[in-house]
Amino acid sequence: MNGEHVIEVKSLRKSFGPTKVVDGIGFNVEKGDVFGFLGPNGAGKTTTMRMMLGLVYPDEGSVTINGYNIAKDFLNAIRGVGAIVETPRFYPYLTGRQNLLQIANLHPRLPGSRIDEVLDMVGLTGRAANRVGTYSLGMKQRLGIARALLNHPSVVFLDEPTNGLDPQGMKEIREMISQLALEQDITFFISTHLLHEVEQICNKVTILNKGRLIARGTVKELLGKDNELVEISTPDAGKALEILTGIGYVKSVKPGLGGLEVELERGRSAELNGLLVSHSVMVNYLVPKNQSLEQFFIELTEGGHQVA
Amino acid sequence: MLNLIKNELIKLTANKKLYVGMFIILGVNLLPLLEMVTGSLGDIPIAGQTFPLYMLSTYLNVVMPIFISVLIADMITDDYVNGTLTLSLIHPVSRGRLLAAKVLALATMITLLLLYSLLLGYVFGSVIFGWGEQFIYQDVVSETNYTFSAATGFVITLGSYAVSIAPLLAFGMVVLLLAFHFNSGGALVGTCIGLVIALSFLGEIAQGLRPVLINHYFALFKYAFLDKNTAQVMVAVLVLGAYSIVPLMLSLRTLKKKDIVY
Ligand SMILES: Nc1ncnc2c1ncn2[C@@H]1O[C@H](COP(=O)(O)OP(=O)(O)OP(=O)(O)O)[C@@H](O)[C@H]1O
Ligand SMILES: [Mg+2]
Repeated sequence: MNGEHVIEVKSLRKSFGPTKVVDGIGFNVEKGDVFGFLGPNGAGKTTTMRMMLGLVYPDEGSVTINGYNIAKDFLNAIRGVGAIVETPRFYPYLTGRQNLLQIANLHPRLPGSRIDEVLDMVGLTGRAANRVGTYSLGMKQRLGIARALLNHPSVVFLDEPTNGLDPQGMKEIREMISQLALEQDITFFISTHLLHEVEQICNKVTILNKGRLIARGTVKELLGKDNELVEISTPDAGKALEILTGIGYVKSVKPGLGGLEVELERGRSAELNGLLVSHSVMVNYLVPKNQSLEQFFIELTEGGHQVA
Repeated sequence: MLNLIKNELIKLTANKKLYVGMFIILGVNLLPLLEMVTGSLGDIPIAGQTFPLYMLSTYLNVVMPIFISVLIADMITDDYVNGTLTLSLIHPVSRGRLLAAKVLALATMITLLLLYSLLLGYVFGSVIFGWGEQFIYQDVVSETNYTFSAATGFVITLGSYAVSIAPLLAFGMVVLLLAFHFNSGGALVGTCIGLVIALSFLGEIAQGLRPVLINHYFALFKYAFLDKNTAQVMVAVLVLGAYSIVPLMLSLRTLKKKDIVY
């Protein structure tokens, strides 16, 4: 571990009634990270985030932001933070600008011009005088980001920032995050249930399932693996399986829909195809498969990626 | 702190409900006109200069408690459930200060609404009944007539509206405490209306309980300016003080310990 820990989370636990929602998790976020907090619905991402921000009190454990303990030194810990928790909420009867003003008023030393700056950054200057009740989901998401950036935060928490957006909207938000991380030196903590979102914008990732961490590391280590997954459609699945067993660059073979599912070293699929054809195995087609979060989980738990 | 209060006031005044409420107060001012037409006013001596004081009881017992419940439902219950309370709480503001700002904003709104009602009372009263020669106020319950000069009457009216802030704010603190335990603003308002009705019934059927019922002290202005009963004013101050401070402290504790999950 090098670098400065902007966020330190130690053995957080939280139950709502009898259900353990977060069950002893800990991790560090370093300065400059775009830290992915990946987990399926109900994994406990939002609850963890609420504990990190001092909204929900943990049963156990501690959170430190910029060196300040959120429970003991809330005002200092929260000072450098911008955040969106769940979908961004607004006062629908106030305008976009008035909504931002509500937050600017909580930071007495912030110049009034900062509101215009952040509105401009998210491209909402033209709609700032309209009531937020009239905004589309994408506009609300962008206004939420503007609000999270208002107080010049050094660390920004975003909870599923692309949830409910169309592909274009997702792309815009992701590009904005990458750009901000790069140009303004902001550390991001981003929760998501989308594996490819992590691949696209994060450098680190921690994976949460049922309130427990099941893996963590750099995105390169965990996701940008040297292997890829292809689906082979063939009537001769049995024979193909025989041929592929024992080939060095083939990591695993499993029966799949109408054929086999093969994990192999990246860039060797043409070779694989050639091999099968040379053994007179009919290959109808060979498709690269995008890994779903569920598959990835199965693989993680089988593949021995364990949390230290 | 001033900024926090400003935030609350911006939200309250941008909300349609305030204007609906003000419109209702306007309507309430026309009720005596209806009573005059139907003759149900009897021989109560109403004039423009006494009209606001006559209206005050209606405001205190009915209009303002509902108004206060609606404002608090917006400021606390709905703010929490809509997830907007979270917005302020993830900035360098302590929960205690936020609550204090909300209470002060409420006090401001109560004051402004009473002022609005007072002005409206003078305008409607004078237009409907004429200003009148003398300030004669008849207490409807005891049927006692209180007579003052116009100037004294004006001061008494002003003072009556001013001291009425205290019982209303105390009532507000009770609603505040309730507000943290509801999941919908509408349910809170409904409950508070029920509470006001229940309290007045309770006062009727168990008169011995009256001294501890908050609505008994809505008539603080009468003790202070008409009966001039110092002992009763002292008791009122003590009881209202308890009604203000205890729920406020409990609300503060509730908010400080609360998991903000919306
Ligand atoms: N206030 C609460 N009371 C009871 N249970 C809760 C509460 N908040 C969350 N939970 C439960 O805790 C679990 C985790 O919820 P959480 O919202 O943290 O998950 P999440 O990872 O953010 O999920 P999603 O992707 O759906 O947003 C869920 O099973 C949820 O039902
Ligand atoms: Mg969530």
